[in-house]
Amino acid sequence: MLSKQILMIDDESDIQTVARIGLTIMSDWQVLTASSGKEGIAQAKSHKLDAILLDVMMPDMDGIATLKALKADSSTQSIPIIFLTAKSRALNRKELYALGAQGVIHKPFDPTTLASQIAGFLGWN
Amino acid sequence: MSSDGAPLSNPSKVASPKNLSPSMTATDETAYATPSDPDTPLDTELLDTETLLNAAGSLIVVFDRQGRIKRFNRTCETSTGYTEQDVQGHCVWEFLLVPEERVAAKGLFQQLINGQTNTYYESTWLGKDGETHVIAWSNTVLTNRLGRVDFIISSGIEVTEQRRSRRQLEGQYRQSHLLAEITQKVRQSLALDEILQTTVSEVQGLLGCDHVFILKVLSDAPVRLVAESLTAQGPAQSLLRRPWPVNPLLQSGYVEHYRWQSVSVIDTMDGPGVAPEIVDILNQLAVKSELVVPILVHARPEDGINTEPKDNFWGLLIAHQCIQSRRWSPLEIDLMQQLANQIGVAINHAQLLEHMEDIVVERTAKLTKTNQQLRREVDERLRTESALRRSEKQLRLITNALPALVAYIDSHHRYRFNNYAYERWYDIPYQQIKGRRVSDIVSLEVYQQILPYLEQALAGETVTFESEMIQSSGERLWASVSYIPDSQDGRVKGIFSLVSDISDRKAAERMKDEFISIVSHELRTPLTSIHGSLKLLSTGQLGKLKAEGQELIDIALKNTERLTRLINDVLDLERMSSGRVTLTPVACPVTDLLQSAADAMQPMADEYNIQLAIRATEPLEVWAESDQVMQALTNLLSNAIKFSPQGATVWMQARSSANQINNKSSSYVEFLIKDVGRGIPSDKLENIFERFQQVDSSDARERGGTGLGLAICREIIQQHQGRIWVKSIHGQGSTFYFTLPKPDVSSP
Repeated sequence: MLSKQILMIDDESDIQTVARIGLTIMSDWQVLTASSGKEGIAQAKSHKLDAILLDVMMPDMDGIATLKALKADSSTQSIPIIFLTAKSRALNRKELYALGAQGVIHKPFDPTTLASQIAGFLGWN
Repeated sequence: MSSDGAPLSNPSKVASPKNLSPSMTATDETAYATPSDPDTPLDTELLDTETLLNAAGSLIVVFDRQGRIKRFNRTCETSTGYTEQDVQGHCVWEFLLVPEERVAAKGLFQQLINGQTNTYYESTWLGKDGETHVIAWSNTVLTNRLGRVDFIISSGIEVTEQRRSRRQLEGQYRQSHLLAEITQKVRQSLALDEILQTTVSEVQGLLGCDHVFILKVLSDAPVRLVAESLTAQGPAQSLLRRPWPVNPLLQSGYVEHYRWQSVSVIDTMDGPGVAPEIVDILNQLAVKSELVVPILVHARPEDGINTEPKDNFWGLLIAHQCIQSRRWSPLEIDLMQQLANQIGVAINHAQLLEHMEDIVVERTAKLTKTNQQLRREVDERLRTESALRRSEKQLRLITNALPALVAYIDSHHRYRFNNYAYERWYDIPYQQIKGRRVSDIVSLEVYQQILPYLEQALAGETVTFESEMIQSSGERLWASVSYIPDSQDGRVKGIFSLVSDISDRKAAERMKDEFISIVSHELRTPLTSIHGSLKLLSTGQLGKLKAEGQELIDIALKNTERLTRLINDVLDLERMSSGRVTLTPVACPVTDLLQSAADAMQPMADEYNIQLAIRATEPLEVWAESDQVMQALTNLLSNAIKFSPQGATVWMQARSSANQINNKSSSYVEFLIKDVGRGIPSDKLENIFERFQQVDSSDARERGGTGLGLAICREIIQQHQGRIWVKSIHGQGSTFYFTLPKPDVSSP
C-alpha cells in the first residue's frame, strides 16, 4: 500500500493508540490523532489527509456533526471519511452512508486488519 | 119418518110389543114405539118389520131382559157366520164377544135393563171363523105398560176397517212422532247411551214387542249389549241375565249372520228362508218372530275415503216377539230401518265427538307443550336479557375503569359504544359521543392519519398501529390503536376499537435505546482497546514473548472476542425482539446470499478444515434484507462448521417451495444448511431455538458460542414472515431449514 496520511478522531486515547500502532505496524501510513471533532477539523484543515477515521460518539461535537462540518468546508469536503462506531451493527449504517461516509467499521475493530479494511473501502488495494 | 108417514118421536124409548115372537124383528123402533096408542096390533106391522130387519144394511139384534138373543138379522149372520138359529137364546157375552169385553158388556146390558141410558158404545165380536168385528152400537129399549124394559133392540154398524185404519194412522203418527223425537234427540243430544235406551224403549212400546235390544259388534271384542227394553213380567228374558258367552244372541255366529243383510224379517220360524241355525238360537229363547236391522255408521275422516262397507257395520237393532208369532208390517220394518239409520247418525256423532275430544286433547296437549316451550323460551330470553344487561353493566363498569379508549364504531364511522376514557381524552361527556362520527371527535389531523386503518379494518382486516394523537388540551401523546372487525354472516358490521396511551412506553423505549447505546458504547470502547492491544501483541511484531506469554495473550484474545460476540448478540436480539427494527426488504438473488455467507465463513471453515459446498439448482430470489439474512446464514454456518468433524463438508442449498403461512399461500424459497456433525438429541430439538439453549453446556466455553445464535436466526426469519426448523439424528448430523418469501409480483 502506498504511504498515506490518516487522521483518527476519537475521544478515547487508548483506542487512538491501538489504532495508530496497528496502522503503523501493518502499513507505512502516517497516523495523526485528534481527541475531539473540533480538533480533528482543525487538523484536517492544516494537513493534507488521505482519509479520516471518525468516531461517532464523542462529547460536545459528535462524529456526525464533525462529518457535516468537514463536508461543509471546501478545504476538507473531499477527504474520505470512514466511521468507527460502537453502536449496534446496522443501526446507523445506512444513515452514516447517507451522510457521505465512505465506510463504517464497528468497534471493537481488529487493529491488524484495520489498514486493509480502510484500503478496501477507499479502493487503495 | 115412520112407514105411515108419522113423525119420529122419542126414538130412544118405545113401548114394548105385546107379543114379540121369535120371528119378529124390531128394526125400526119408530114403527112399534107408539106408547100413545097401546091398542095398535103389532103382528101386521111385525110382518113388515121382518122384511125390513133383514133388508137393513146394519146389524140388528133384539135381546130379552136376560140378554138372550131374540132376533139376529141377516147382516149379523153375514158378518159373524152364525145363523139366527145358532145364536137365539144365547147371550152375546157367552160366545160372540171377544173374551176381554164380555164382563164389561154384561154390566152394560144390566144398565140398559135398569133404565140407565147408554145408547152408544162399541164392542168386538168374534166371528165364527175367528175374525174379529168391531161394531158401533146404538140401543133402543122396549118397555111394557108398567115401564119395565122387556126388550132391547141394538142396531150396529161394523166399523172394523175404520178402527183398523185409525189404529194404523195412530201407529203411523206414533212412529213418525217417535222417529221425529229420536231424530231430534240425535241432533240435540250427544248422550249416546240415552239415545239408544230411548230408542229401544220407545220401539218396544210402540211395536208392542216383547224384547227390543241393540248389540254392538266389535271386531276385536265380545259382542256387547248396549241397550234393551222388554215387557215387565213378559216372556222375554233380559240379555243381562245371560251375558256373553252363555247367551247365544251374544255369540258371533248369530251377529255375523246379520252383518251382510240390510234387514232380516222373520214372521214365523217355519217361514221361508229362515236359516236353521238362527231357528235353533231363537227357539232356545222361545222367540217366535224376529226383526233385525243392522246399524251402520259413516266412515270417520281419519279412516280414509276408501273405507269398505263392512267397516261401516257397527251393530244390530233387534226386535223379538215371543209366545206367538206376528207379522211385521212394512211400516214397522221401515220404522226399524229408519231408527237404525238414526242410531248410526247418533253413533257417528258420538264418534266424531270422541274424535274431536281426542283432537281437542291432542291439540290441548300440543298447545300446553308449545305454551311451556314458549314460557321456557321467554324465561330463557328474560334470563339472557338480564344476563346481557348485567354483562353490559359489568362491561361498562370495566371499560369505564380502563385508562384505554374502548369503542365500537359502525360501518358509517359512527360511535355505537364508548367508555368513559373518551371524556378524559376529548373533554366531551362520554354519553354524548355515541352516535357521533369519528371525524367529529378526533382532530382532522388525527382523522386523516387513522382513516386508512379504519377502512382497512372495515374491509375485514385486524389492524394494529401506533399513532401520535392529540387530546383536547392540545397535548400530544403516543397511542397504540387496534381495530378488530366485527364480522357477522361474512359482513363487517363495525369494528372494536382499542386505543391505549403508550407515551410512557415510548419514553421508556427512548430511554432504553439511549441506555443500550451508552452501554454498547461504553462496553465496546474498553473492549476495543483491550482487543486491539492483544491482537497487536499476538502478532509478535512488537516483540517475541515466551510460549507461555504467547498462550496467555491468545487466551485473553479469544475471550475478548467471545465477550464481543456476546455483547453483539445480546444487543442484536434485544433490538430485534423489541419490534423496533423496521425491515427494508429488497429482491435478493439467493446464490449471492449463499455465496456471500460462504465467503464470510470461509476463513473459519479453513480454520476447522471444513469444506463449504453450495447447491443452488435454479436462479431464485427472496424478498429480504440481505444483511439480516446474511447474519442468519453465517450463524447457522458457524454452528455447522464448529460441530462438524475435520475434513467434513457443510452443504448449503436453496430450492423453491410453497408454504402455508398465516393462512396465506405464498411462494417461498427454502434454505437448508446440512452438516454431518454430532447432531442434536431429540429431547433438545424443541428448545434449540430458545435463548441460551445449547446441546452441551460446555459448548459456550469450548466452542466460543454465546447460546444466542439460533434465537437470533429465528427472530430474523420470523421478521421476514418465514419459518425455521431443524431435523437431526443424534450422532449423524443436523439439517437446519428456513424459508423466506419470494418477491411478490406486486412488490415494487
